[in-house]
Amino acid sequence: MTRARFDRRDLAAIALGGLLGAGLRWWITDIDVATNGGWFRYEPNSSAPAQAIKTSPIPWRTLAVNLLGTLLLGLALTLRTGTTGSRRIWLAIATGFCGSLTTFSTFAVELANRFRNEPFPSGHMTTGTSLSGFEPTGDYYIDYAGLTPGASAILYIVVSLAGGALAFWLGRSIGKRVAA
Amino acid sequence: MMGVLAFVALAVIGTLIRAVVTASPAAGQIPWRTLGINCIGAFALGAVMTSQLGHAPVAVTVAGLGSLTTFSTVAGETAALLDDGHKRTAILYVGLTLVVGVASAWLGLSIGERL
Repeated sequence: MTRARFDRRDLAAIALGGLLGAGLRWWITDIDVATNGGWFRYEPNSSAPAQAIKTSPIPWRTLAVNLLGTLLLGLALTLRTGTTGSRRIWLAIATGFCGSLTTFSTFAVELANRFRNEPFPSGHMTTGTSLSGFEPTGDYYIDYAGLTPGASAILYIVVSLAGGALAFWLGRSIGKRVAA
Repeated sequence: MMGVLAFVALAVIGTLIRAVVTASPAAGQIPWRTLGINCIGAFALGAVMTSQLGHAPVAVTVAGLGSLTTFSTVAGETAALLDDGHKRTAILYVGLTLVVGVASAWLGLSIGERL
């Protein structure tokens, strides 16, 4: 098993790409993370009637960053070349930017939240830090457009897998056309 | 300002750990290191989200754990396995990533609630 060796400049390139990817992801996914367990804790506390927070069965923004990063990686893989300078640019884009723009931890937590909170995740919202200013407080439950959380989880998995495959294929196809 | 600095620092640390750990997976095998890092990140994100110890800052959740874990690398590795004719390994890898990843997040969310 060969371990790729990165020199300092490689690492700097990867770090810069990763920072930009993470920043863009924060900007895009802020609302999804807020409605999917991000900025508040579950504190069941029902003295007042709970408020429905309507959210999509699929966290579209998380899906968008994952598919965008996957498409870009498919594209980058077809345009890879051997020279040192372009290798660093490639590392910054593929390993740094695409790797950090996409995320698995949020995806997994969104799914786990859906699977484990039958029929509705409910609790008490506390304020947090959100770019979008989405910081409601009080007792709530999450309404996935009428779908059960389990059904919305299955839908999210199917769309992510099919979309990921399609995005990668599309990125590759575009790359091959550009390279030709 | 401190929040921005923490965001930058943790995004860079998360990215670099992932880059070094997931570099050059062995051909034809399940990329265990990527799987491991994704599951550790999913577990940790679940734990900090439900933890009663305090509100998890964006720098930790979005920057650190978001950059540590990756979706695109899984797609690239799966495509490489399929290109090389390792169809069963590719399917197994995607299946394991989903099942063990969601289980890790679930475990994190449950443990976090007790912290």
